[in-house]
Amino acid sequence: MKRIGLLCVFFVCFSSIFLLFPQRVTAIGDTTIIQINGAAQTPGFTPALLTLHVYDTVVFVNRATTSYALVADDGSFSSSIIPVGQQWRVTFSSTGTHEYHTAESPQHMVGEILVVANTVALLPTPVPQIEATTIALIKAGKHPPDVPVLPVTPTPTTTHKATVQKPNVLFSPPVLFTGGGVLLLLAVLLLMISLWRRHRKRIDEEEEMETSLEEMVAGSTSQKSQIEVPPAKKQHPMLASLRWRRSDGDDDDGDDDDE
Amino acid sequence: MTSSTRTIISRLLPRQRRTVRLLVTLWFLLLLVLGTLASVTAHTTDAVAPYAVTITSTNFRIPLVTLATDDIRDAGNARFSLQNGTALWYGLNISSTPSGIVPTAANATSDLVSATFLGTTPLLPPAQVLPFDQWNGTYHFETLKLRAAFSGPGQQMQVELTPVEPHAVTLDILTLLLQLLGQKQSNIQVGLLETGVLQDVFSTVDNLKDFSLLKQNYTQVLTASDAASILPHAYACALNITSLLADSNEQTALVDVLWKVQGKAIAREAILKTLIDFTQTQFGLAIEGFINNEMSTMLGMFPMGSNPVIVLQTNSTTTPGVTPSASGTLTSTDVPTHIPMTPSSTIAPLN
Repeated sequence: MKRIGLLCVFFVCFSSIFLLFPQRVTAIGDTTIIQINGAAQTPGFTPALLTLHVYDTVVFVNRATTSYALVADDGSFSSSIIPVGQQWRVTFSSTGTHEYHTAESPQHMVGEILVVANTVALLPTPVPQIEATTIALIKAGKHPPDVPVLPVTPTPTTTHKATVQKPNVLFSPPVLFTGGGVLLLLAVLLLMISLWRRHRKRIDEEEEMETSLEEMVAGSTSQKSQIEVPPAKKQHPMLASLRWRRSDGDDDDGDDDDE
Repeated sequence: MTSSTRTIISRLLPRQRRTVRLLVTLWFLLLLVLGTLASVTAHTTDAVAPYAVTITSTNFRIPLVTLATDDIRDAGNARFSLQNGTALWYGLNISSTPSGIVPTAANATSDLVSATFLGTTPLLPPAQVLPFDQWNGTYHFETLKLRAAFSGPGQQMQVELTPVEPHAVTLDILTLLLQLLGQKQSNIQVGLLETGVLQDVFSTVDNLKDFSLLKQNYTQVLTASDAASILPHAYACALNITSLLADSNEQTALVDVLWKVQGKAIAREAILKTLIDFTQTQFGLAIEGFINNEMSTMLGMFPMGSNPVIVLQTNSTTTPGVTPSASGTLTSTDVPTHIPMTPSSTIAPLN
C-alpha cells in the first residue's frame, strides 16, 4: 500500500514540474502577419518583402475594403477568397523564393516571400520592454543605452520568438499541459483504485469473519457445552465485538462459555 | 414649447395670441440679424494684416500623399500638414522668395517626428516605419505638421516632394535591408528620431562604396520610365546588396547603421551574425524580383517628373474696391486633396 502511495506522490510531483514552468518553452515555428492593404496602397501588402524560416507560418489578414484571393507565381500556394476582416494562413516547408499577387489586382498588388534554412539567423524582434524603454528615452530627448538592459520586473511573453533556435515539438506548451493533466488524472485514478481495493479487502475480511462466527455460534447452540471456543479466537477483538453484537441478550451464555 | 406656455397661450384671447406669436417671430428675426452682424464683425476684426496666405497644391494624384491646411489665417504662423501613406520616403525640396523662408515643426516640443525630419535634411517619412504613425481605418500614414512664417506680401515658399532625393533613397534602402534580413516588426526605426543619428547614418553610408552604387541603381529604378527598364537596375541592385553584405569592412559599418536605426534595441552581435549568415544565402533572385515587381506596380501611381508640389504665398489684401479678406485659401490643380476649412463667404485675394 505504501508503494502505491509513493507512486502517486511521484506522479503528482512530476506533472507539477511541467505545470509550474511552462514559460521555459517556446512555440513551434514563427507566425508572421502580412496585412492586405488593398490596391489603393500599392504594393498592397505590408510587409511586401518578408524573409522567414522553413516551417514558419504566414497569416494574411485582409484589412482592405474588398475581398482578395492570393496566388503564388510559382503555383506553390493559392488561397480561397479572403473576405474583409478575415485571414488565411500558409506554412512553407522548404527554402525558396515565392512571388505572389492578388487574383483581382495583379498589376497593383504584389509581394515576395523568401524562405531560408533554419540555420540562417534572421534579425530578432526586440523585446517589447526594451523597445518601450528605447522609445520612451528617445521621446524624452535622451540616448538609449548601447547595451539594452531588461528591467527587473518580469517581462511579458513576446509574440515573436526571441531566439532563432527551433524548439522541440514535444516541449510545446499544449503538449506539456495535456501531458501534465493526463499524469495528474492518472495519479488520482491510481490513488482511488488503491483506496477502493483496501476498502474491499476490509469488507471481505469482515464478511469472512462474520460467516465463520455464525458457523461457530450455530455449532455451539446445537452442541451446547460440548464444543468450547478456542482461546485464540476469544482473544481476537473484532471477533469479540461481533460475538457481543450477535449474542445480544445471551450474555449469560457467553459468560458461561467464557467460564 | 412647454405645457405651461401652451396653457398660458390657450387662456389668451385670439387677438392676444396673434400679438404674442408676432412678438416671438420678431424676436427670432432680431436674433438672426444680430448673429449675422456679429460674425461679419468678427471676420472684419481678424483682418489686421494687410496680406493673406494662399496655399496651392499640384500633382497630389493619390490619396496616400495628402496636404491639409490646418490654419493659414495668420501669415506669420501659417500651419499645414503633410501625410504619407506610401512605403517610400520623400525628400522635401524647399525654395522661397525671399530666401530663408523654411517650414519648421508646428509643435517642436511635442511633435518629435516633425521636429526631427524638418531639421537640416527635410524628409517626409513613410507609413509603418516609425512608432508614431497613425491608422485612419483604411491605411497607415505618417504626418508632418509644419508652419511657415511670412513677414509681408509678395513672399512665396515652395515645397516639392520627391522620392528620389538621395537621403530619402538611403532610408528606403535601409528599410529594404531590414526586411530582407528578416526583421518582421514594422515601426521599428525609432533610432532615426534619436538626436544626431540621422546625420550619423547619412555620413556613414556615404563612405560605403557598395552602398553608394546601390543608391545609384535604386534611384535609376525609381526614375525608370517603363517597366522594361526597371529589371536591369533591379538586377544591379541585387548584385550591390550581395557585395555590400559580403564586404567585411562595409559589413561592420552597416551593422552599426542598422543597430542605430533600430534604436539599439537589438544586440549588435545578432545583426552581425545575420549579415554573415546571409552571405551564404541565395537571396539575389528574391531581391531582384521584389524590386522589379514593387516598382512596376508603383510606376503607374508615381509618374516621375510630376512630383507633388505645394506653394504658399502671401498676397496683398488692400486692393482698392475689394473688401479686405484675411482668410487664406487653398487652390489645387489636378486631384484636390483637401477642402479649405476657411469660411466660404470670404473673397479670394487678387494676384
